Amino acid sequence: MESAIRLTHVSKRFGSQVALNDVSLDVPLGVVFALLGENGAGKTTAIKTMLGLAAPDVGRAEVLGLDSQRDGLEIRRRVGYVSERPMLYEWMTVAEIGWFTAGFYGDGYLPRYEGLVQQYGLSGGKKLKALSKGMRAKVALALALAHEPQVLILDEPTSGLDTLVRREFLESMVDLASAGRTVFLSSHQIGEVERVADIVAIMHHGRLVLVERLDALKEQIRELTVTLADGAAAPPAVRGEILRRRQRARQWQVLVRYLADEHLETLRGEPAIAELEARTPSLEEIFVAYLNDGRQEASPVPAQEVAAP
Amino acid sequence: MRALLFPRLVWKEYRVLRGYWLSLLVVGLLIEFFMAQFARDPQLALFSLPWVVAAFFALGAGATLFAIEREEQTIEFLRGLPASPSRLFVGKLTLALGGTLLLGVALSAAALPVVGPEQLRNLAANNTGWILGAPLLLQVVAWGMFFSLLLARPLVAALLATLATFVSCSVVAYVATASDTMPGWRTGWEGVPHALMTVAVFLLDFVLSRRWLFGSARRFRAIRIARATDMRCLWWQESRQSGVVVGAVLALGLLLMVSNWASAGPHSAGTVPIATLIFALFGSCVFLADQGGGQFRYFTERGIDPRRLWLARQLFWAAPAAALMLVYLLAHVALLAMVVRNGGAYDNIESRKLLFFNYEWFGLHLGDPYRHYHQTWHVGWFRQLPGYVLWTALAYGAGQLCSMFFRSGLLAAVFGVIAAALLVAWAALMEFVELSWLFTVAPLAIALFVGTWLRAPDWLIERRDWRARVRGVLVLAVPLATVLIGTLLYRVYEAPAPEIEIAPRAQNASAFAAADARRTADLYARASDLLVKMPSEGPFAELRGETSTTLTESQIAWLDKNEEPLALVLEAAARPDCTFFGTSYRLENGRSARFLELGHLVVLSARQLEDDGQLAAAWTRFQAAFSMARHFHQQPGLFGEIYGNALERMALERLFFWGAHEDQTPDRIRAAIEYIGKLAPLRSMTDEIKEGYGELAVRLFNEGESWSQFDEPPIVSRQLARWMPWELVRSKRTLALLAKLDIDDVQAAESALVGEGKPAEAWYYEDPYARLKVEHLTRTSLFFGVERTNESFQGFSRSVIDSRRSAVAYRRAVRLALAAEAWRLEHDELPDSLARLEGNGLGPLPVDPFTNQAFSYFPFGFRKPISSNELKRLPLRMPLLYSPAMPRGDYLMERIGSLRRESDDAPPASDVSNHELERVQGLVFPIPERF
Repeated sequence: MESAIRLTHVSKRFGSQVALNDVSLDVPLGVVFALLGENGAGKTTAIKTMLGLAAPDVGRAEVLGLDSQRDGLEIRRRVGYVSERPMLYEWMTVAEIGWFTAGFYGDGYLPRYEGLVQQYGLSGGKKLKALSKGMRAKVALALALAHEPQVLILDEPTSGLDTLVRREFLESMVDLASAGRTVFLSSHQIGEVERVADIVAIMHHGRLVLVERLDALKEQIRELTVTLADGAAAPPAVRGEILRRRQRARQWQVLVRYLADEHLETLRGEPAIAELEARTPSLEEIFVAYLNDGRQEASPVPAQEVAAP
Repeated sequence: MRALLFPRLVWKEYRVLRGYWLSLLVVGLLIEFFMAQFARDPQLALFSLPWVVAAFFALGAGATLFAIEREEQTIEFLRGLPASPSRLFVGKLTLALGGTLLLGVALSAAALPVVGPEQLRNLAANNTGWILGAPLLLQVVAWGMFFSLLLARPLVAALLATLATFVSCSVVAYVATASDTMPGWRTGWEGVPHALMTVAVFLLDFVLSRRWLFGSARRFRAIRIARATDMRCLWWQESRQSGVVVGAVLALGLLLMVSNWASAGPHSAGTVPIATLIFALFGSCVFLADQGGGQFRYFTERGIDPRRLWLARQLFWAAPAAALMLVYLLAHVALLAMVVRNGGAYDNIESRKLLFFNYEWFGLHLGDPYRHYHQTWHVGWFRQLPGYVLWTALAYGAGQLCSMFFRSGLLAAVFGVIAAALLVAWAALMEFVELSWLFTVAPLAIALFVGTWLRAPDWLIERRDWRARVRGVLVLAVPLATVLIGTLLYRVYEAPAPEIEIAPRAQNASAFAAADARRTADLYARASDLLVKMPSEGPFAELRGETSTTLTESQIAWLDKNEEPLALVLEAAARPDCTFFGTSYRLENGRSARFLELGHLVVLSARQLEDDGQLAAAWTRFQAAFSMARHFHQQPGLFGEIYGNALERMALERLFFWGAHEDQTPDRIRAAIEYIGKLAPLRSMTDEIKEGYGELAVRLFNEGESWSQFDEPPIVSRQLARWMPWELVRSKRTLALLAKLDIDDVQAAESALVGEGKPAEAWYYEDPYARLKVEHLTRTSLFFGVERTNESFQGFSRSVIDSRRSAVAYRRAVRLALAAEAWRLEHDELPDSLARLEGNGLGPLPVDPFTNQAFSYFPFGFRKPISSNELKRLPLRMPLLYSPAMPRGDYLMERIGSLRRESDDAPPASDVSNHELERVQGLVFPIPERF
């Protein structure tokens, strides 16, 4: 599959602070790609690197086959980009900023913009400074979408939006992806992203600790709640990649990846285990597990037996 | 119903332009108020101001009338009205002209209390500018309408109309008068071609207005200026977000300049700083709106071409800056022309030079190798335009650079103004040293714009890595360093370096430093100390050049008081050598003057002996005076040439009368002729020149001897130049060039004096371009200083050669005159021609050293009593010898010939009775009647 965005061993430092640490990423066309991470994880730097707004110290970034350092301007022209705090001219009306921006794109921009504005329920005559945060985000999104970009890059696009709008907005992302466009969004609104993302990546301290299709991820990760039998003291021996484990009295909670069904049945038959429940965790739980577990990177290794200490 | 249409059309236009008209009225009133309060002489300015403001309205109205219909898309509505194109045209025109007139009248009426009705009437009646001004005012409307019909943007139409009017004015000024000094402002007759052109443009407007209303829209679109869509958007955006700022800076610029000129006149020294400030402010606003809150990121996020953004911003801000520059230029030239017309004179030449930079300085006359040395300061639009453009670009460029580098608008403005001030100071320095702005200033202005143009991509994506920083620094540093180094090298190598050695005084002093010679100087010095100063008034003031043969009582009294110094001087004069060097005596001006006074004493004592009939003793005194002059000639440098010649001449002048004494004998006269013929040869002028330049070098460069001894006031440029080694090299080369030219000159003159070749004029007469170049070199050498300019640029050769020729002429003429006296003693009459004197103790007949031809001889004198530089009054009929005292004095010879008295019987001139002396140029050597 052709890549919409590709980062190859990209590193970037700001003084002593490492913003990106050997990040490699491949975003195929026609997907909704969610980059998750806590504040300061390096998401915005990664986006700026893709757009040619920041030069990587090492590695290479490409968008739509264009080198971000050499063709940054062309990339920014071809993609739709909504930054974390979109810069808009407050003194313009909704209609004026559309007309103004249309000057930089080809024919058809303005009608599409007007359509989007109508779709989002915005009034063309209102000045931007009179709009709520959510409405401004909608204007920014309409401006980014009106030239029908192949790739849409959104940096924290839903912050400030109310629940309804956020839901509506995210669903429109799915529509875009189904129309063959790529949506790259960075967010820490995990719950919302979960509903629309095809692929998720988790970034922590400048490193990518997980890149996986969401459906596959959910198949791979289970949360086990193990209640030990009386007299048993040792924790359960769970085979797989342990992401998190917690103990409450005689009860253990273990988040594990690559747990084989057969092994689960074996565990159920263990005499030391009085009770065992297994469920699929939410993306948020997986995200928290990855960040809190202290692991620094993803382990794309096959399942193995990990004996709890 | 149709009758109501026209007034309503006018009403519609009035509604469109009402705000503009009222704004200008308010601004005009404010300016009038400030002028009335603060202007030193507000009458003239208050009379002109209303019509300047009215011209602004005319321009804006004309440019708006049609363009706004298309801009606001109301043209279709107009097409639907039952109005004929002519009615529509007349309606719009009526409003524009009426509004203009009304505004002018309203502001004039407001100025009436200050100007006064009588004064206003006088100004209006006497002002020939009306003949030119009125058609121009109409022409502004005509051009505005013309571009308004072609374009859809009133602002662009107004700018183009301004340009068209400016070009039209300049073309008419050149074509109609073939001159560039705006004579039209003096006569007003340029108004005629302007009126014809105005009618032509109005006719064109009328034709276009029909097509505009009924022609197809497509056709008009085709002739609209092509614009990229993004540029249009950017222009619109900037006009919306910065329109108020533009207006504010424009208003500030107009207010400051009007108050400046109103209070201090068009020569005001405040003109340059004010204009620099305003243009720097314009520049520092270029990226102001984008920098505020990081608004430029809007374009970053959308991949907008940074260079397009740069261009759009520059065009938007450069347009009003250029318009203001043109207003300044036109107003300034007009004001200066009015000053001249009203009998004023240009003063404050330095600021005028800076403002009215001539195009010669831009090296536009590339075929002329002396283009840099032309200095003609004319007031004219074309001549001043390049200087104005570059000056504006420099200040604006500095501002826009800071606007990109500083996020804060305040910092950008402050640093922009500072940078602009520095760059304009550099430009002023280049103007002062007369280096073309084309090479020294234009590259800097270009670098400022190229700098932001190259930086634009980095600026937009906020790149601050070392590569970006180095790029930014190099863009400015390379041209700056190139211009700086190039300028320094040019400064040095502009002056050629002739191979010549100029000798400081100290080097030659040793030749005269013998103890015996120093003792002679001691005697002179003691005499000088004892000398009772000659009274400065009375007969002494007329000592030189007097033809009286008898001493006055005060002269005798002065001689009596100075017996002791006279004895010392006579003792010193009898000694062979003298040097004032190696002694404690300095030949400062005061001391030198007293030495010359000693010479007067000796000559006056000779005259006293002559009066007593002791002619031999008198001759001995004259010999003492010649000996004293010889001592003066022994001094290095130009001392001998100045004081030695003066003393010798003083003695020679008296010999004319000594020879004519009634007790004189031919033998005594012949002995004197022989003595004068054997007077010590005068020193080599080449040596004197070299030594003179040696002294000058000491004074200028403080080399060899202490500078402080010359007691000169410190010259700022020289003090500064001491920190600039290249300036020292340049000044030395210039001094060497001057010395070389002077030495070439005196060597030619020396050859002519011994009969080889014809005497020539000094080099600066022979080659005016060389003179211009040397003037330029000396005027712009910081070591020479402005104060020394006139003294230095002509060098020493003129005075040395003139002095030398005069000295030789006197020696020869005295010998001739004495020979004529001897002839008269022997033949009872003067010879009828000088040729008869040849061989009569003279050897070959002496010739006039100025012409290398025989002296003019007037045995029967002139028909009128005359005076000359040397003689207060030469009586009628007194025989004389004459020299024009210049190599090409044919016109003097012709004039003096007309005064010739042909015979002893010839009557005097008819107007002799009025006792007016005929003043003649040149040297007159009398052959007095025997007494």
